[in-house]
Amino acid sequence: MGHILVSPLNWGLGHATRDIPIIQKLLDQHHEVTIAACGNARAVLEKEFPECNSIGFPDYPVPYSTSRFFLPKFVAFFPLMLKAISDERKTLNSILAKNKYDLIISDNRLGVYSSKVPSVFITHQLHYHLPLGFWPVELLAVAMNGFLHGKYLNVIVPDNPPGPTALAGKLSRPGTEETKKRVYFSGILTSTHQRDTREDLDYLVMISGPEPQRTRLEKILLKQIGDLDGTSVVLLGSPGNHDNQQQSEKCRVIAYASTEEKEVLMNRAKCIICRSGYTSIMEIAELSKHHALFIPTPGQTEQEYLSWYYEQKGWFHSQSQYHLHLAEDIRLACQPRYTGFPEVARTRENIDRLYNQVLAGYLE
Amino acid sequence: MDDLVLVGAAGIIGLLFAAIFLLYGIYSIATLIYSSAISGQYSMVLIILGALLAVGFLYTAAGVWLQKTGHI
Repeated sequence: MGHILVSPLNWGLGHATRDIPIIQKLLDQHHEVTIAACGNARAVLEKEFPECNSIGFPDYPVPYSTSRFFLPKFVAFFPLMLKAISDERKTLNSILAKNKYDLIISDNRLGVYSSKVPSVFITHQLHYHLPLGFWPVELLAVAMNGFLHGKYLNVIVPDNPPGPTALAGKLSRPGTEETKKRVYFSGILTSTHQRDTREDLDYLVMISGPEPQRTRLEKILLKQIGDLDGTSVVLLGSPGNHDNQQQSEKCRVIAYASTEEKEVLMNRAKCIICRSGYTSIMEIAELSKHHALFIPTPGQTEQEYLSWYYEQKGWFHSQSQYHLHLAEDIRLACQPRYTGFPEVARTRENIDRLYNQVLAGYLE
Repeated sequence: MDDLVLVGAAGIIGLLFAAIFLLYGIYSIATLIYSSAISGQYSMVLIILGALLAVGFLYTAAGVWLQKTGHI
C-alpha cells in the first residue's frame, strides 16, 4: 500500500474535481491519500473524501482582471507568483519531512515536486495560447514549460493525444523534448457521470468563473433568458447566495447547485450554455452532449482559443459575451453543422488505464 | 535558493530588461524621426518609416509562419 500526496491548484474548482476520479481509484486500490490544498479545492475534496487526511497548503494569488485585458495583469503578477512558489517549496519540504510519501501528484502546482519522492504533474496546458503579436513570449513559455516539466517523472494530460480527437487543440501539444519524454495522455478526467435520465430540459445555463466577469455574464444572460422558447435552468454558481428564484414559468434560477444536482441537470439538458473552461469541456465530452454554446471569459486566452478551435472544427458554436444574442446564438448552436465532440474514451476507462500504465508503477 | 525560484527571478529580470530595451528603442526612433522632420530631411523620415514597416512585416510573417508550422 502506497501513500500519495495529492495537491490541486485552487484557481476555480476544475483542478480539484478532475482529481476526484484519481483519488477514488487510488483509494479503491487500498492506497492512502493525503490531500494538500487550500480554499474551495480543499473543501470539495474533504467533503468528497472524509476518510482522507487533509493538509492546508496555500497556493498562488489569482490574477483576476476586471477588464477584458487579462494578460497585462497576469504578467504584473509574476513577482507575487514567484514569492508564492518559493513559499510553496518551503511548505512542501516541511510536509515531506513530517510523513513518508511514495508519490506526489501535483495538479498544476508548479512548485509541488521533490527529487526524493516520485512526482507527477497534471495539466491540460502544455502550451499557452497568446495573441499572435506576442509570439516571442509564447515561444519563451514553451521553453519554460519544458524546464518545469523536467522536474517531474510524468506529465499527465487529461486529453487525447494530438490529433483529430484532441479536445484542447494546440494547448495539449508538447513543445519540447523534455515534455515529450514525460507526457502521458490520459484522456478526459471528470467527476461528472452519465446517468440514465431523459433529456427533458431544453437549456441549462451554467454561469461560472472568476469575478467580476461571472456577475457581468449573469446580468447579460438573465436579461435575455426570457426570449427563449422552452424550459431552462440557470445555475448562478454563486456559493454565498441561497436565493433561488422562479424567473418565469419556464425558467428557474438556482443560486448554487451541489455537484450532484448539477450532474443531474447536465444529464437532463438538451443544450448547455457555459464558459469554455476545460472542466466544462470534459464534462460535455463525458456526457456526449451534441449541443452547447460556449461563452469565453473575456481576456482568458485559453478559453478564447478553445472557443475559436471548436468553431473551426465545427464541434460547437461560441460567442463573445459582448456580442451575445442568446436566442439567435442558441439557434445557431443547435444547427446540424455543429456535430459535438467526436466519440472519446470515458473517465472510467481512462482512469483504469492511467492507474495501470503510470501510477501503479510508483506504488506497487 | 531553489533553482525553480532562481530561474523565475531571472525570467522576470529578463522581461523587465526587454521592456526597457523596447521602450528605449521606441523613444530613440521617435526622436530620430522628429529631428529628421524638423531639419527637413524627409528622405530620412521615409527611410526610417520604410524600415519600421519592413521590420513589422517580418515580425508578423515570422509569427504567422510559426503558427502555420505548429511551433506556436
